Parts: sequence; C-alpha cells; structure tokens
Amino acid sequence: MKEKTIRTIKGISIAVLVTIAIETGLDTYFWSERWQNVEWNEEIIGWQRRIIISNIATTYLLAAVMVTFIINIFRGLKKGVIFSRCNTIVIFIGAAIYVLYSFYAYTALDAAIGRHVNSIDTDIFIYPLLIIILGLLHKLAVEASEENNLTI
Amino acid sequence: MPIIVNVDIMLARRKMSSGELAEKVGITQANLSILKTGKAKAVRFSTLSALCKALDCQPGDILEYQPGEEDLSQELSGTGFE
Repeated sequence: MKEKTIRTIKGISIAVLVTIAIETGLDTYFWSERWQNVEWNEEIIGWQRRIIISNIATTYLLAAVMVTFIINIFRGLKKGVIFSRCNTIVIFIGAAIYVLYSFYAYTALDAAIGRHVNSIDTDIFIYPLLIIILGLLHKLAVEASEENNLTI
Repeated sequence: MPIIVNVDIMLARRKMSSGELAEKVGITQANLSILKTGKAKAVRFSTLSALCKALDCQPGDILEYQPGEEDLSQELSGTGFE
C-alpha cells in the first residue's frame, strides 16, 4: 500500500514538473507577444511596466517554488523521508509568493489595457491561507515523523 | 528522558557485542546506539520483547526510571517545597 502510494506521488510529481515546464515555456513565448499588444498609457506607463514585469517575475518565482517542492519530495523519498523539514519552509514561501502572484496577475490584466486599477480580490488571500494551513499541517507531520524515527 | 535503557550492563553480563544484539533483535546498530545513548523517544513492545528474548532478561533488567529535574519539580509543586 505504502509502495503504491509512493509510486503515485512520484508519478504525479513528474506530471506536475512536465506541466510547469510546458506552462513556463508557453508563458515565456506568449509574454513576448503580449508585450507587443499592451496598450501603453503614457500617464501610467511606469506603473504598467512595473506591474507587467512583476507579473512575469512572480509567475517564474512561483514555478521555481513548485519545482523546488517537488525536487525536495524526490530527495526525501530517496532517503526514506516522507515529510522533509525544508519543504515546510518552501510551502510558507510559496504562500507568500502566491499572494504577490495573485495580486500582480489580476492587476496585470488591467495594466495591459491601460487601466490604472490595483485589483484586490478575496482569492488573493484565501488560497494562500489554505496553503499556510497545509504548511502548518506539514510541519506537524514533520515533527511526528522525526519522533517516529526515534521510536525504536 | 527519565527512562534509562541499560543495555550495556546486560550486554556485558551475556558477553554479547552490540552488533550481535542488533542482529538478533532485528534493528540497525544505529538504532541500538540511539537506544543506548538515551536519544530514543519511545520503544515499541515488539522491540522490547526482542531485546528481552535476545538478552534473556526481564524488561525491568534493562529499563530504569530516573526522575529528572522537571519530574521532581512537578512532584514537589503540590507540597510547598518548590
């Protein structure tokens, strides 16, 4: 049962890595096109550039966090560790980056059409809060796992 | 940790090496070392049973309770002798 679950985790992790690679590649390709189609508004051009560049940067940062999380899972499973301490930190960093990513992703839609609107939606906070809950549960799992390792 | 695992004493009495004991009990030498050095958080009954079988002894021969400072202060907290 445990071996089957570990194989499933590895399979899904590989699928996630491939998806991230494809998405990041497509984002890189389409952003260069989208940059050409942005409706630059001279009054707010500095803000538009900051928002769009921040959107691109946070997209890549989030992808990097997810890749790091997956790589840590593989490293941990290789050593027989299911819940690794470093992934707890990665999850919390991911939650923080997701807040920024969500804000810039929403705001970039308006920036691309020349509208100066800072979009704040409940989605910006709900999903990161859920991620934080998962991070805290992961932290408890790490502590239980370490205690279990010291149970002879 | 107030519970001390006195495996070394029984090993000396039975003239057995740590490696031999670890093999008989079915745990790694590293885990046996964790037990001996008091770093273990818990011992499974199956491991305790295997230890007693390998060393031909009772659990009381290898387990000893030595209250630490925390336990002493908890005991004294109701007596006014803190």
